[in-house]
Amino acid sequence: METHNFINRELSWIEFNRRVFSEAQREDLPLMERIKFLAIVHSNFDEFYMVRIANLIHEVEWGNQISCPSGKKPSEILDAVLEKMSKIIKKQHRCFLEDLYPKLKELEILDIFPQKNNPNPCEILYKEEIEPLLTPLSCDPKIFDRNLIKGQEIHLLLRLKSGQKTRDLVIPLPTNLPRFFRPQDQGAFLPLETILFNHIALLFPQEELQDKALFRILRDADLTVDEQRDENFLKAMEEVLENRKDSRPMILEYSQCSPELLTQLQQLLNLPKQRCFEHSGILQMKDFFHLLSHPLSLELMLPEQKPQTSPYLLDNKPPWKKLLERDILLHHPYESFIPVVQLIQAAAEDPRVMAIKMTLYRTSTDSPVILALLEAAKAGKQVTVLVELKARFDENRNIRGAKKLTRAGALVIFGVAGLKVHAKALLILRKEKEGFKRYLHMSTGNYNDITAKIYTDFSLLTTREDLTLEAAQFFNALTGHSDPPELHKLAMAPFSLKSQVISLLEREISRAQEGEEARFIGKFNSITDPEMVEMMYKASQAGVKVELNIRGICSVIPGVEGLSENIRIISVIGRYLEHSRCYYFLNGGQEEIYLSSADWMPRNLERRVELLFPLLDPEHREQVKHILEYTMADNCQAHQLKKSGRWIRLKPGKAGSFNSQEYLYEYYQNRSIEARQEKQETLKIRKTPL
Amino acid sequence: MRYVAVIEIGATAVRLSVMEFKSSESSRDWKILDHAESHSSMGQDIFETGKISRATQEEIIHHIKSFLDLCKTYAPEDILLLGSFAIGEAQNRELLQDRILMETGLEIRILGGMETNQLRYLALSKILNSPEMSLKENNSLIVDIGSSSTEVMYLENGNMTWADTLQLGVIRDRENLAQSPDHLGEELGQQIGLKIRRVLMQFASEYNLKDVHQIILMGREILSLAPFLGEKSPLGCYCITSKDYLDFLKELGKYNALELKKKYGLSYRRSAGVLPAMYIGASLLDLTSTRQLIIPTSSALDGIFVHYISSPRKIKNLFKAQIISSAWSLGRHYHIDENHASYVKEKALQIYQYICEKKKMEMGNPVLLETAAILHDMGGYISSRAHHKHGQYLVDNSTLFGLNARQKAIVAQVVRYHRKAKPTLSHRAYMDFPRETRVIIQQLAAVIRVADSLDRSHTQRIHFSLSTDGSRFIIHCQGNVDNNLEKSSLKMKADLFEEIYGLKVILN
Repeated sequence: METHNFINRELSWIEFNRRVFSEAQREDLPLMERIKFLAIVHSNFDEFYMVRIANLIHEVEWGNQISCPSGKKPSEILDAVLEKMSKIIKKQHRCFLEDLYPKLKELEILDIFPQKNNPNPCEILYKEEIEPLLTPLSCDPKIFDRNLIKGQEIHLLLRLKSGQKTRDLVIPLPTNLPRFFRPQDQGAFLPLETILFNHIALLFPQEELQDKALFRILRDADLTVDEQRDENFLKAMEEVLENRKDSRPMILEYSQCSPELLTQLQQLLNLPKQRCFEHSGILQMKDFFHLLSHPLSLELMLPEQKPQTSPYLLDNKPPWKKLLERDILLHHPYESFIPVVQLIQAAAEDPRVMAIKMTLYRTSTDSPVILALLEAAKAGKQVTVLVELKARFDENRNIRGAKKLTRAGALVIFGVAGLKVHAKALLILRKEKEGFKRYLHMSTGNYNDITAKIYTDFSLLTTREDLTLEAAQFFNALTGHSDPPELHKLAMAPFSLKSQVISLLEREISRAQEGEEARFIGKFNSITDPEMVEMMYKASQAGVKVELNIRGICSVIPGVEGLSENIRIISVIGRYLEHSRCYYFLNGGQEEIYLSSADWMPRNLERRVELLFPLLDPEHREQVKHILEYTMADNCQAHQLKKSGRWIRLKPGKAGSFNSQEYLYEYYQNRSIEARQEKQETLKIRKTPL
Repeated sequence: MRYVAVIEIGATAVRLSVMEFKSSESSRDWKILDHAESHSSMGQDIFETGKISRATQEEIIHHIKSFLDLCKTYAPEDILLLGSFAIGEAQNRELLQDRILMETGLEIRILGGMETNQLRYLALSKILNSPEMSLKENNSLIVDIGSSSTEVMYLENGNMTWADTLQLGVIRDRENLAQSPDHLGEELGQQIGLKIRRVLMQFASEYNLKDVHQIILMGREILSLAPFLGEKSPLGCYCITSKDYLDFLKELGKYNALELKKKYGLSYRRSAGVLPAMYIGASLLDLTSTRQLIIPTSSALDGIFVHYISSPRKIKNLFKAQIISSAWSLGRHYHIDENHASYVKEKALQIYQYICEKKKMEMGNPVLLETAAILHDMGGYISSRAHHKHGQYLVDNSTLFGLNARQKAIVAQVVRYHRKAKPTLSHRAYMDFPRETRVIIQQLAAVIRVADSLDRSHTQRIHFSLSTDGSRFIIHCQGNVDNNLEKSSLKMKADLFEEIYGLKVILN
């Protein structure tokens, strides 16, 4: 492939965050929705620094060899990325300070520059709750240990003067206190660091506070675990997490910092200027999520949309009966994730259930899924859980969950050496009168009841034997009882998933070459796999109509004559995080749709265990096809990628505006209401038997 | 509901299948409840050194233990541990058997070629009896390409006539090749082709393959490619034209093993075996007039499950016709007098039925009697002198579909004793059998000696009814025929009958 036909993943990722940030700039959105988008961008940048930037720095240090199909050297990419990020960060803070903060201040939601009143409630707060928790660290080069500066936490840097002597101190913000305080539970939230910043002089009555600044650092999290440590992988993972705490600083973010203190920080942390970003508004904007708990916040957000109950789950029949009647497709968060949790809970309680097997990649704190699994294990059921300890930034939570499950008697498998298990599947084995029956749930998203309220994902619940038997074989492989199976209905990465998708695309290409109508719609988070990018170009050149709905990173360049003129790419950023992965093939009218846990990135297709599953029920295919078409038709929350590589926000045309997420919510709401009404028309009579 | 787990130790993998059987008055059915497969280097060890290495033995034991753990959930009533044909070739197979018994408590049942053929036939019974496949009106070849051997069975108008084992297999042939992941398929094909042709030319010289109209092609490698060759029929098989098969093979030839793995989503092990398997299939196509290939989704192992759900009578009847058909085919191959053989078979059965009824014995082995009766003179192909001994040798060294090794050995012994000397303690081959088997041999041989005597002239002119009178077994000739020749023959050959049944034979 020619190098200029590939957009570098890091640069595309920055563009994705620019699109997310553009939501924060939208004046037509409620204030707290905009704040939420600022928080998302900051959270995204944190992970990006710790993993991708760290990785680029490693590549530069290891010889700066070209590894990106765009043909750019790691150093070129790093420079371009840092420059773009610097611009976005400046805009972000300008947006916050000039546009959003005045509104927050006026509405008494947030106050980052509080006036000193008398009596000053902040001073009391500082004295009573904050000061006892402070641990100043000396910056004397002879004793300074930069490992004491924790990543992703805010610190205060002070320069104190006593006579002719000056000394610098670093004080970490206590992490066991809330980031935002409402003194006496009234008025606006005040950031903890503001209170500390304004009162820190009280801690050093004998010295003069000459200068002060706020800063945080991001450390290298691109550390790999020793995959050979089979004998105690849990321990090996814990060691990685421990090492991550004092890994190399990658980025410095500072606020209210004088040039002198900045120089001091750079020296202490050994960071070049290029990787030091000024956050003029406020540090760690990702903590804005906490502001959403302010009583006023609810009014300043889009109206809450409660997940609907699927029409097929309205009655009180046990899940075993419902699923034997039909396969059920759930579209989260429009439809509730609770039935999935209830299925696991029912399995835990049901005496006929013999075994539960599932994968866990990311789950919530106090996850009801883990609780149900614990109950099942305690009830003596055979519970096998594959906990992916390597799920980045969820490692600690997963280690805790794994330990609890092990103690309860579950068989916990700590992933697969060399691969991350990203597939999402749950298999319940139940011994019924007619023999063993399997109940299978496969999903495009995680078993996380919290994110299931925000992420768009599909859940398929089925008892079809052709799918459940293959799922059983999939679990046999994951639990070490079998080699990877040859699957016919499902496909598994890194073994057959990619080749199957390629062969389905090739079939579409052949049809187009024979003059038939051919169409592919792909919806996933990212596409960066060079071979898949190439397949998109091949498809376009053969005349296949290619429609891609890519939320995040996209390495494909659409609309280039002779290369990709049949490709249209959009990205939807809305109140819900587009997360489902769906592949549609026209197949000469015999349409096929597959759902998957996999994005089209080399890591998903080659270094992760992923699942691809077909939608075999025509009704489900019809439903998902329409959803794919609706999301492609969005002109309120969508950006379109142009051949220049720029993403342009789509605007409603003459036909009017169309917000796919709003439309889908209404669709599911109406469907649920209609089903309830229909149900109410049937009277369930209770009478004495004759 | 019944549950059975079968662990199969194959040349390249150890496999577990857990089956659920529904067997009620109204329905008999089974389904695979679980399946697991783990790689083993056994085949490679055996083909390279003749032995199963220590490491491979431990690997196999580990897999068996893991499977036993996996199938605990189903609490199967039976756990069968089967050893494939390849194990039989290992010099140290007994060591492996002992180790497995000690570590897992399971005893391996090593399946012989014929037993596997029977299972294969059972597994295919649905397809073979389906009118859509019109196998009853055509001659078909069932070819099962395994890791170490290729099993071939010939069905003439739906009847099994012969079966043979070819020393061709996906590992055996892969190992002979210069292994290189960069080797293109067609280059491999040229190398494999020579060996395959050499084996098949010899095979083709023994059997007439030009009458074969259909090939039923089995084997894991072929099956893994079947979805790319055609659509699956409701019967659970893929029907493919020879042309499509050969075109597909041509396409495969463009790729090396790694590319095949990627393109068809195969495991590396499978991808390395698909080309040898496909070439074996193509070479057989070349020797026959086949226009259609059937690739079933079942394997020989499925026969075990069919066996489980079928009534013993059904199985017996299913095989009886095939055994007799196979015996006739073998007999014809050695130019037997078919009229005489048919007469001896019919009359031996008449005598055996009568004597069993009179003696209130269970008529346990009529199919062995019929088979031996058909083949009793087969040794005459070599020489009429001592033809009973030649016959024994030929039966011992031929394939008789539907009979296991023990049954075939009984038939060979009956052929051996259909004339001349009776069994004695000095006959080592005979004495190797346990007492019960020796009794069966004597009973059947005694009946055939009498029936054979009654057609001494090979003109089938004696028809009779039977009676007993005290210690006499009386054969009443029907019509006015000169039976002096038969009488004199009986004098020499009825001795065994008189000894074993305690009745003097009289021909009236």
